[in-house]
Amino acid sequence: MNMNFRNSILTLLIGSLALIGCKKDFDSPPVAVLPAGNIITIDSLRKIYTSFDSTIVNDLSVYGTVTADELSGNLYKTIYIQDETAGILLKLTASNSHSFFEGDRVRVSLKGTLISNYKNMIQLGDVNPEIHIIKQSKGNSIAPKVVTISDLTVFTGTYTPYQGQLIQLNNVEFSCSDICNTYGDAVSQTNVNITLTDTLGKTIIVRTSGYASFAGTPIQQGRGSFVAIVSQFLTTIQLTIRKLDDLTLSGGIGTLGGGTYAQISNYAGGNSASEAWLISPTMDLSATNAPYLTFNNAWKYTGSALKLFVTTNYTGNASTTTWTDITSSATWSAGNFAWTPSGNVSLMAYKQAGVRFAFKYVGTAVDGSTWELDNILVKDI
Amino acid sequence: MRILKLLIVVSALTWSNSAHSQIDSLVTDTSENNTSIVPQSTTTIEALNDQVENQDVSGLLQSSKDVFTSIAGFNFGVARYRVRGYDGNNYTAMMNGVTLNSPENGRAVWAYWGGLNDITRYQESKNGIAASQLGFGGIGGYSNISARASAQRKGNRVSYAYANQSYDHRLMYTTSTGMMANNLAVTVSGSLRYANEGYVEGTFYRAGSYLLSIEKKFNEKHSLGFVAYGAPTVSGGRSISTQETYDLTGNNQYNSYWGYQAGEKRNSRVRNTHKPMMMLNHYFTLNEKTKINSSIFYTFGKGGQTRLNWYDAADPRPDYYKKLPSYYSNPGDEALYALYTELWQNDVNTQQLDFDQMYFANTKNLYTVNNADGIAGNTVTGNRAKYIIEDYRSDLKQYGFNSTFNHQYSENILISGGINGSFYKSMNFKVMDDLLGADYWVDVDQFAERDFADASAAQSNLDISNHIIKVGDKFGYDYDININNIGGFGQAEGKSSKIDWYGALTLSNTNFWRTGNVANGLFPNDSKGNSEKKSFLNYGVKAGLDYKITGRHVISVNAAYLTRAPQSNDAFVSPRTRNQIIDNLKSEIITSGDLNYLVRYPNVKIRLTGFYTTIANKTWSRNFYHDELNTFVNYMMTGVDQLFIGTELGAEIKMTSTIDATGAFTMGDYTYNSRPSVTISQDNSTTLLAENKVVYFENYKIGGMPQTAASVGLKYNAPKFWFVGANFNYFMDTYLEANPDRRTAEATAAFVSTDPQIADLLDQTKLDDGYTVNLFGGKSWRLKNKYYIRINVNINNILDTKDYATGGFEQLRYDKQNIDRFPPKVGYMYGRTYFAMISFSF
Repeated sequence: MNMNFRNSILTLLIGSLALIGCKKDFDSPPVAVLPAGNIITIDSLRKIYTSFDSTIVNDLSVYGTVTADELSGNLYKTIYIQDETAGILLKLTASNSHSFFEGDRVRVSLKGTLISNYKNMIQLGDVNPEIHIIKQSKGNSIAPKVVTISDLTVFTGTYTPYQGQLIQLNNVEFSCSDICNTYGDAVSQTNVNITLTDTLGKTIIVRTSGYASFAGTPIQQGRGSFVAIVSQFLTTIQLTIRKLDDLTLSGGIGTLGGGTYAQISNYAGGNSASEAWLISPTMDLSATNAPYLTFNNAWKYTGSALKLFVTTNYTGNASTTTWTDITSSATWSAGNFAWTPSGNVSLMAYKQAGVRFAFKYVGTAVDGSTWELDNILVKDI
Repeated sequence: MRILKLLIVVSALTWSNSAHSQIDSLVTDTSENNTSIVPQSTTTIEALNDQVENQDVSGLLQSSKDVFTSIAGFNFGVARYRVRGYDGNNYTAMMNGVTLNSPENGRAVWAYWGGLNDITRYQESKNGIAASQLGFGGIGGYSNISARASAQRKGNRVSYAYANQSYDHRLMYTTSTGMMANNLAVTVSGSLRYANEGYVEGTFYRAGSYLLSIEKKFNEKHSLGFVAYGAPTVSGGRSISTQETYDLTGNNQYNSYWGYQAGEKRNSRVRNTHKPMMMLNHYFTLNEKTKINSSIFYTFGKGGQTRLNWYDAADPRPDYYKKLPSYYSNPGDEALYALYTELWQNDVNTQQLDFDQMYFANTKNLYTVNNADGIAGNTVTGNRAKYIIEDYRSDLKQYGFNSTFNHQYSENILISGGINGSFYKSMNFKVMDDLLGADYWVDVDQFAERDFADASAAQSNLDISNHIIKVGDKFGYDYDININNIGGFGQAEGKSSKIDWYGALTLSNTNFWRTGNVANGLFPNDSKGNSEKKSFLNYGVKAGLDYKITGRHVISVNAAYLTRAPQSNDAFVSPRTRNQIIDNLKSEIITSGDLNYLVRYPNVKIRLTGFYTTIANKTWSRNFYHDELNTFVNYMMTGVDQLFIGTELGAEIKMTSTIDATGAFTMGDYTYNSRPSVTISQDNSTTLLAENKVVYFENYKIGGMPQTAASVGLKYNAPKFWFVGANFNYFMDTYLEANPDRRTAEATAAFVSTDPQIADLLDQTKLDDGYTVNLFGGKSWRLKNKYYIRINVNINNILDTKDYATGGFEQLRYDKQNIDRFPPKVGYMYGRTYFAMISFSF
């Protein structure tokens, strides 16, 4: 084997490796580039509105972080975004409650959207969440600006400077007239205005949708901090609650559930031995995906714990029915009438017709607890 | 003693195949096991058009005498390696000169003759572009199994194998008479393979095989042979799924296809095939210089694959994306996320199918069908099935002939040539396999039923509207694919002291068409009867040259240029519903060349190769169920070009009289090389979802295989007839198969370069590297000078690594805003497996 030949072989090997080795970029469809000059702040966006609604025709974009989403149902087809300069309401062409959440940083492509003013509230309309909002990242936080009620009502021209922004009020409480109300009217699904007061006696309206998941919840009592979004209706400043977690009021009597509830006790001047059943109507769970039971419970006084059972063949008589004990699947109150949510008690194993569950109470001649149950619900995923 | 010596010689000669007793086991391992782990090309397993059979060619590779190919065939198969990156349709498999590749997809299915290892072990094979006296062949190479009775080794062999992959037990028996005094030779071979549960949970395996070969020698000029074989196989399938399901179950071999029924494991994907073949071979020695071999063959049989289907009911598949915790990863869904996570970790009826639930639903659905079976006033009342198991059948009938001659034109020149013809029909329909406790199923298209006011639109068969289907009835769709092919080739080969050369030509004509056997409500005028007949005239030319620098050092160069008719599999827009053929259907154009350097010393064998291949004008059709559109979507891409560049290096070195070393290395770059055009249609509508959309696909990697792989091995051959060895194999540059639709301007239109969605959409995922360590050993004994007992054992992946993903694909369905919503599906290599065999020859 001569040298030339060896060389040619080496060339072959190196040549083919080189051929493979040259890194070729993946093909790419034409991708638009956003010039830095086309990125504007939310404040600049708000100022595009002068005296009439206008559709934006240029390839502009704003970046912002979602401060309020549709998750609690208090907002519908609406989200708020905010940057260092300002906040703004986005009016969506379709509800997108499963796409954009608090803390998402988004780019809003403005071309085709409508900057408008509804009763002195500047908003960006015609925002198609499938096209105009592009999520950049999740889990960002925007700290609410700590302000006083007075701050909110100082107008700069027509507008409160905090319009569309996330704010925090400290040392405020709801003015509860004779009977405390709920946040919204969950029955007739209408909005409710309630009033928030600070230590100086200044008040501001908190407006809550009847569709909010917390609409039927009794208003929390006590004083504390309150985080909300600022909106404006003509010359009235209104606050929008994002979720009840944003409210840290304390000092009042918290109630869970409210209204009527089931109660059992074996005490009437003294304990008497007793066994009592609270049995659900029969249910057909065969068409469900992942059914589960939830309820709230509370108890006090020494005695046997309440038990939770389930059956698929109720005989019409609790004592002759074969019950399955699922007590351990629920979370139970620690006593002292502390209302406690049961958590999701899975009924996955009972996806069929003829399902009943039951609570069994047992008291003796010497002791017996008082148990309370409320909001007993069977839901499907 | 002479036989013993012979045995040693045989063992040394076949060392390139790692000793012949090992061939047996390994051929079994890779060609019959691992069959449906990961599709080896761009398939979506969940789609209805996934291959009923796979395209494993490792059986072909292992038979190779080539230094690189045999090492790769033994050691790279588990990683879904494909030689030079080629699809299986570039390899030609033959038996006695009859081509076994399916005309429909171009691939040979090893499983059709699985378990006949005693016969199929003896193959003549060549890799790459090479001279062949049997036919023009593909650019990947060819392999010809010799099933001729007179060519089988005289004697009996019985063997038993114990393994833990597809099957646990295998029993095999073969007897050959050799050419007897009455000029008759007979070979009979048969085997049984069985596993109650295979390596993957919920799979099972029950297979038999048989072969009869008879040859009668009439005189010195004429012999007539007859061969019949088949391998009835019933097996349970395994899925490939998203990483989330593997993480939740803690099992990278998680299989979503099975579930409990009354406490027993049941697999919903049962493959049931039996496609026997028979052939008559005429061996004619015209004179000392000329031979003519002619064959006629007939093959037929059934191929079935069961699946679940459902009507007006929740999707029963456990890994349906809405049943996974990740579907509930948004804020506000924390409770559901926790619930599904807990259920996936602890509830077997969540992890797996819940047959009891399906039975329950089916027995609680009393329903009355009016005007049943197309008869006015005929009402049928009973439990209408919500869930069923249906059998997707693809049965076949094919007959054909071939005749080849070879003629020693002069001392140094051999001329050969031949003609062949094949007439193929596949019959495709669904059969009701199990009503799961219900009384009947109604043969309507539930998607069309939802979308069209006209009730007739939903009918699968307009001649029998509201057809009541019971177990065993045909329903859904019913069509034939007909493919006729006639071709011929001619070749000349020459030899001299310095140069060997060959050149060959081929010409063929392929016709195919669809015949609809039912008129369907959506396409009443385009579903029944014959489609347009497509005809393609194809040709090919190839040539090669070996330059012998010395007898020990050879440079060889080969080149081929050919066209290939598009596969009928890719030709129809929606073969289940209509006759419509894809526009712009063209023949593929294949250009391939390789340059090799060979070293051939008694103790050192080396091959070094560089190759360059383009396959242009491919058509790529897939379909998948889109649950927002509630229909099957057909994705048809034309003008797909592929480029394969790479190098191969193989070496075998006898280091001492007892120690052999082997090494193989391949590095490739297998990519898409064009901007194809895509048209998207729906099964239940003539409206196109897209037309001639451009896919920006250049330089995307062809996925599902390691593009770089290496192996080193050592073997000790003890003088006392035992051996032991080990291999280390390393795999890298494996990519997920890219979803073309994500690489379109339409997909990226809403975004600018800085949006994270751009990278999410366009980047191609490269999988982690993997490796295996394999051990093998064996011993043989001679008894009374005429009996032999051999034992051999293979342990693959002895380190039991279970985290090497061998491939996968991006789902065709995607959410461009949130790419993680439909994550890719990946498959993993098996952990430790073994195969132990004892055989007795007498």
